[in-house]
Amino acid sequence: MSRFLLRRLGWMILTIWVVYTVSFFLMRVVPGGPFDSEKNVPDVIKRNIEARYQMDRPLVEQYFTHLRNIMQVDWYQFRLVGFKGLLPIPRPDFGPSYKLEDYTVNEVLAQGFPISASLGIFAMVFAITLGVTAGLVSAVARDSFYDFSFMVMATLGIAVPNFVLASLAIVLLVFNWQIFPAAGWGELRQVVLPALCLGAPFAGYIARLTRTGMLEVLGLDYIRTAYAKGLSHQRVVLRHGLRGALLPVVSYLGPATAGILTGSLVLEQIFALPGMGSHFIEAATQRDYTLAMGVVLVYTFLLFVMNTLVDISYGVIDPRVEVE
Amino acid sequence: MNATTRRIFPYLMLLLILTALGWAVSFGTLPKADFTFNNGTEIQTVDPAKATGSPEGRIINALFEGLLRNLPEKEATDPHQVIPLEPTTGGVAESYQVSADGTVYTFQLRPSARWSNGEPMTAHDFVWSWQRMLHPETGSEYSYQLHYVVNAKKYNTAEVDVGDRVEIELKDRRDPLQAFPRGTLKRGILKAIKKPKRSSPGDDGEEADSREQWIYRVEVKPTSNGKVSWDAAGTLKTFSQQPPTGSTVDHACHHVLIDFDSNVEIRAIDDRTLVIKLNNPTPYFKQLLAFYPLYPVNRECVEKYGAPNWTKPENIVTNGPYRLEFRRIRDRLRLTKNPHYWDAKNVSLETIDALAITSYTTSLNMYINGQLDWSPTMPNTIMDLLRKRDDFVSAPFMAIYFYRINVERPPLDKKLVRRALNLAINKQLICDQITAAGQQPARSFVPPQLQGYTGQQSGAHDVARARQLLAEAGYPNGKGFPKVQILYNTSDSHQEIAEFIQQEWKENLGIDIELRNLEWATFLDTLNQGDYSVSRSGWIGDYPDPNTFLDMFVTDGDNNQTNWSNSTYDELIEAAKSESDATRRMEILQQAEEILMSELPILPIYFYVSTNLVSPRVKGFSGNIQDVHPLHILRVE
Amino acid sequence: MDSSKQDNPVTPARSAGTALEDYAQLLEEAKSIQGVSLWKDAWKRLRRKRVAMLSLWFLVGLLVLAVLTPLLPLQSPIRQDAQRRKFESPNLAAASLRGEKFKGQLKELQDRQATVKSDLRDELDEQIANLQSHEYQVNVLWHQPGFLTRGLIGIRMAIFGDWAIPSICGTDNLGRDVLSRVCWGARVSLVVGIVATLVSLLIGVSYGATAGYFGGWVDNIMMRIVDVIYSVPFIFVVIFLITILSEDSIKSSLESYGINQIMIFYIVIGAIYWLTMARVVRGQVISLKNEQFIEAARTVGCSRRRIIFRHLIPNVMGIVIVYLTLTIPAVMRFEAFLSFLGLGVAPPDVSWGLLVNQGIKVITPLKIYWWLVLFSGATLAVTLFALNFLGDGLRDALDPRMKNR
Repeated sequence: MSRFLLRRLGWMILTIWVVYTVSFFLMRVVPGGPFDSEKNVPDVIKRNIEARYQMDRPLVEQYFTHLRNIMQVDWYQFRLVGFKGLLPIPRPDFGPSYKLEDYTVNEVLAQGFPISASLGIFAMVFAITLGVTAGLVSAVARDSFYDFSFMVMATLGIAVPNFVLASLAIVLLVFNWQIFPAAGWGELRQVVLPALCLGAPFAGYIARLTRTGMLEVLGLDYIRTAYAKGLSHQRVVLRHGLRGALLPVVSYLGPATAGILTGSLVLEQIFALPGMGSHFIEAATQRDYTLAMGVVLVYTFLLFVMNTLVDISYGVIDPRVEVE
Repeated sequence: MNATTRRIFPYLMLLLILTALGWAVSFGTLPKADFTFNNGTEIQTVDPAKATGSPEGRIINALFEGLLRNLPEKEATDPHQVIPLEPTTGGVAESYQVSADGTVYTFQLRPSARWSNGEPMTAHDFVWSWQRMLHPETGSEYSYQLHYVVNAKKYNTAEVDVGDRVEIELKDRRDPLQAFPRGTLKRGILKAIKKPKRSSPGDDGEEADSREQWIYRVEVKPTSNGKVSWDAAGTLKTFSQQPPTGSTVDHACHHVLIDFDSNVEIRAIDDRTLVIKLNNPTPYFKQLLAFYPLYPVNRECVEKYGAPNWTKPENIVTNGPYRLEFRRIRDRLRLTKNPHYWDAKNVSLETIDALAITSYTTSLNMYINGQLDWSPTMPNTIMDLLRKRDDFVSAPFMAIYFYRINVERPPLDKKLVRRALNLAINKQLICDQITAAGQQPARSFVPPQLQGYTGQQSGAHDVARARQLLAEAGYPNGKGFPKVQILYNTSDSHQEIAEFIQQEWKENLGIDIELRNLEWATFLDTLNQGDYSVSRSGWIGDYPDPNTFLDMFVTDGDNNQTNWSNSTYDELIEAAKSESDATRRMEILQQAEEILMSELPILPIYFYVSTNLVSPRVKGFSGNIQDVHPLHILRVE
Repeated sequence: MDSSKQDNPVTPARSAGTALEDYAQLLEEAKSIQGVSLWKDAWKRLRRKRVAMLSLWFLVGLLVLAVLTPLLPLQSPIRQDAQRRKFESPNLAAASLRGEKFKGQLKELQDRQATVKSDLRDELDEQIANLQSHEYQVNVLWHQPGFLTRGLIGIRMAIFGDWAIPSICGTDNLGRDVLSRVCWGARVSLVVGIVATLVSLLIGVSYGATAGYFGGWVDNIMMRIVDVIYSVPFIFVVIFLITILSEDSIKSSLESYGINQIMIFYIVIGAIYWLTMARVVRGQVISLKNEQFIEAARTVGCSRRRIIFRHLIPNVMGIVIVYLTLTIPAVMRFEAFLSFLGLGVAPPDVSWGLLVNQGIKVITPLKIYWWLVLFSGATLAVTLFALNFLGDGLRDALDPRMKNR
């Protein structure tokens, strides 16, 4: 297990390093790129960048200095049930923002991250809860009206792009029936609608996966044995069947996270949520390279963590799988 | 993995998910403010010396306070009323006197005026703040507003003449990147300037560039207890910012400027009295004092933290009715009542949120949903519906929407091309169909609300003549015309107008245009650096006088940004400043505008009408031609 | 035993004949047994799925529509007429290609001609002539049409003249007809989808086939690279790339090489989606590698390249096609995504994502211009649906385990 984690860590560092290197060279080496000294940049930023990035040093030295800044790690001592250890908490320093005079990239990310995180977490929880429940009901009440309607909605959720869905939701739920506020954040109910719109496609996909998985599992021998033993319907389905059905769902959570991160870009714009996604888009439109690179690296890290968690869970749920 | 891990794993996961959910919930909430409005964009800065826009103005007017304060003449009972603003003694100054010839202003500061850290305000705060604003390294774009003061311009442009009293800042600053606190200052009389030999003769432009290499010979006067003995004998020393190779100087320095204390006529007689001497009687100087670039900043705070850190909420010290609680980028600014404000008992709103929503539609939606109490922006598309509402407040607005042209970029350097571009736009259509709130198409630069002044007009919409001009310029039917880019700051309305003008120029002149949009702060920076071809711009008059519009375009004016330069224009603007006869002065300004309208470094599009949606529970709101709504006089029911 | 699709099932009656007669009979039988190729088999199975067939016909129809759009009697997709035609809801009012605006402009000029001074007269004459010229109209009514498109437009104008289909989908905030914008947007969205997918196909298939065929450490490294790239949220990197590449100075230097923004788009988008294709192809190649016919080819002495390109790849085509139809909607959705965010297609070009964006921007509680979002959104959604269903259907149809069922 620890070997597995270590290998994963190794891959993560490698991936982040690749992304960093590619971005670094793209930004420095391309003629007319952002760090070209010919560029007309406001003095404050120019000074900040030159101080931070030591532009007068040779390129290789800049590369390693910046890399070291990003890979900064705080060692956090912890104690868990008599087990003492040191946990490295990454605390990267991404440098000053290229376009926003008053801010460093870290500050912007620190402000945007909680909002995006709350949005993403709500969306994910919603997607899993709704998806699994709908899939379960569908599978158990196979070929009934519920099954049909759930599956239609699931397909709709998958095919319709989330911004179209969001606009429909706004028209219905905000203007027509006035259940939710229009935009912004600050109250809990302001995150609900964006989270619903963000999670809907994934709920649909998860519903389909659960249904398929459930149907497959319910046809297996050990389920028949359980019924034969006299266990109740509920017990059979929930205690024995669900486990097997959840496998494809769990392995889907990896790509689902990536999808939620991507989907949040659009939804944060529509609902005026100042999360990391909307900062990223602004960075892209404003050509704020340092901020954009910071966001990319953070997202890569998040995705890696999520994928690792998924793999571990997979190993736990399915005893046949060896997590190595 | 072993069985125990496997068994507790689902519970661990559940715990993790619940923790995550709880954490998410905690971040999703924020206590509601008393009053929420949409400021329209993320502001560039809260530093009064560095800001230029009106969104910044709204915030700075709440955080800081100047000598005088612009307030409505009388109290508003209905937001639809248009009540003119007056620069009153509702600011830091308790009273003031103006000399008979109108050039000397004496202010008495109120003793109860304090900074937000409790320290009392003094006249020295103003002297230091204005020196900072005039200091060339601060790079204030509004520094020319103080040029009316004797010798202020000379200080600001870093001009020194032989025989002047000068101040020299040595290169021993605490932080070389920060202009304040300054390094050791040496004062003396400038004896000679040695300019390095020009390598190639005949290029005057080089002289300005080589300024850093000039060697100044100064008779440095002794200083004791901070006082300079100008009459005592001094020692001759040489200074240079960057001595040319082969020469040595006694000291390297950051700046050689005329001595502020002895030359520039902004003086603190004592802690409570401030005397300002102007070059000429300037009728609108009082309005300037109530305008935010001339607001004071706290010296200790700026010197301790440096720019831009001193503007951070945890560091900033202000003197206005509100403090800065926090600032979340692209989200909101929260202002809370400043208990040390001298008039705190009359300030009604405890907390104010200024949101940074750029989408007009979202702003409107949030207003209608009750999330905003005041929305100054709204989508043009349903303007006709909005105008019928009770909470729609509109007033004539002394502001113009125009396109700036970078006259150094070919083919825009040709006057004929610019005139062709101007004539090809159907401005009436823009006003009727796109903005649709009663705006007026603009053919002059100065808006019509000013008494005694008639705007000089450029050509009327005439496509045939436009094509003719373009052909004369060498691009018949638009053939060979290089691709030009229109820059605008992110907003639906600007995009619509830009798309419309893109089509107009394509259909009428046959030229291809690209569109590019930037966020407000980046947009302002890009304009400042001259990194554009055609850019959307807007200008609100800072005081009710045509000069506020016309003196933008003097050569190298900080707000010019078009690279346009015309010496006759400059002379006329200067002459107007020293002209005491009001009628004659207007005539001079009209002559200047004529030049502007014939050269067209800018294309006037339309004159604004202020449009606001104000919730009926807001009291104290009224309209005025500057569309300024001080936040501290608002009340909410 | 292969079930034969015979037209005339011949039951071999065991006649007591000679061996020769037996053989002749067998030969007859053999001839009447038609072999079934994989494709035919698959097609038959696909035919049975109604939803998939519907999707197929819809997509074919869409493609034809998109290709023939310049030929159709549509209004101009870019001409603005804010004065007369702003925000019209769907209606059947008579419409013309050049629009009322044109007639208005012409009339204005002609009126002016009567009153104007002589020095402007020539200019006015020229302007009137220009206004009525074919070249001008084509340039104003459509955005930079290519050579072929121009030809089709010419034919359209010749056949239909000024008549155009009325605004059955309404008009937008600047008076532009939504129906024609949706049709012209289809071209852009579909082209981006197809070209980017083909790019990803090219890269993915070659990469996967090579990795699968060579195996060993080559395969290992190549797949490791794919793994690393897969774990990066590639979309962000792509947006980052697009950001850097749209920097003005870089853009102009690229344009001097003839690469414009749209082309960068294709390549960059295609660069994301080749990963899945590579994995899938590699898997297929690995399973095919050990088949007999490959070994036969090797025995005969085929070069490696020949084996890869002549034998392996055609047999991989089945699964490639399936993934192709599943990648196109992903690409189209991504393009819509980018255009929605303002990072993709720029005005005055039109794409579905851009149209939906414009529609959403004007939704307010006071007035909902439903037609601005519905038509473009619905077309986008239905196209994505159709592609997904077709992909699913193809996957089931081409599944070798389902053969002959």
